[in-house]
Amino acid sequence: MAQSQSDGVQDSVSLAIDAPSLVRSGRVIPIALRLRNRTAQPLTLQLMGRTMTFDVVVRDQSGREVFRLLKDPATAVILRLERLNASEVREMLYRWDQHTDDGRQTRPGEYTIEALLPTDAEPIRSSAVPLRILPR
Amino acid sequence: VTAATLRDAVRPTVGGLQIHFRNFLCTLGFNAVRSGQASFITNSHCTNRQGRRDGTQYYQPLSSVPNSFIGTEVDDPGYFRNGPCPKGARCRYSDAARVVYASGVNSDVGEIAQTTGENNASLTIAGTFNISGEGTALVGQTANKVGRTTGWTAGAITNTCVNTGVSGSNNVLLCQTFVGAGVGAGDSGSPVFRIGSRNSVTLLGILWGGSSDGSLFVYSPISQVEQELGALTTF
Repeated sequence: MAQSQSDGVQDSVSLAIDAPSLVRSGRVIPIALRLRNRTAQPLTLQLMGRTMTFDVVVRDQSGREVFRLLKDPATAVILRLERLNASEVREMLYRWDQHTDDGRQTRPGEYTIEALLPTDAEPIRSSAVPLRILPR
Repeated sequence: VTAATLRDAVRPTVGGLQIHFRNFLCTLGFNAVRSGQASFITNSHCTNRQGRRDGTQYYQPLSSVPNSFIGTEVDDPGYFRNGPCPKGARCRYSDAARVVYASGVNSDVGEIAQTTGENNASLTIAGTFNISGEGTALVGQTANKVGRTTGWTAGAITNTCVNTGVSGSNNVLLCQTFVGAGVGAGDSGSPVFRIGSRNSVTLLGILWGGSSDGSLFVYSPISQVEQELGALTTF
């Protein structure tokens, strides 16, 4: 392992979201996540899950959480040593059908989307990106 | 002199220590003897192939550390369908597998690493808990665990006997117990126990899952571990 995850890992990697900023109500929203090694050295991250496990959180304008992908209390808490080569980018995709955690259709309005990668310390977080849902 | 942590090489081995296989880290649950074999128990999902005997090789604390090979997985029962299992799912009663210690590896049956305090995030080993029995738990009672990521945490049991789907799979673990206590990635396999007098503890089961915010963990009761792996001598 060239580099293990440490307190400085947040400076060594970036997590970015690519998602449409404007969608019609009811449409499936493709949310692409890109984890990038920002350094010129290989990096070994300590990430949760047997496979790439990520969380997606959607909040309304007041900051209230309306959707969380990993809301189940039943995620296996195994830790994976994931090697990223220098400057390597790892992509993940989630398709959100606009249903909230309580099973309702999200109302038209302004929202934000944030992604997280759980680790054995603080999660790797993306910046929140804006999302506007228009009436059908 | 620096005190050892749960992530250091510790011999004899005890419950709560970091273990390493392939490119994964988990926690050694507890030592046990089965059919005369010195063994330890960890999660089925902490093996190369979940739900089948595959000879996974384990290291403590890391394979990169000299003399760290500690054992080979010998028992990991398969998942089943039908019966009490929800339609379309694969079920077991416990997320547990047994590993036989390699020759020459010292292990202490009945001992779990004790860190400096509960819910204080410390990974420094300050003593041991001694298992004096096995038991079941009721809602409202306090359960404890020791794991390589979040150390010793404790909290109230919130639910018992919940059929629990494992996120990201079609696996369901039947009749599991939930505890409102801290957990983190890498704590898979942690021993779960109730503290009696002094350092004497009752073994309750083996932790396998948690909530994404780290405030709740799920474990398989010890009776169900032994239902699937056979009778174990744990103290």
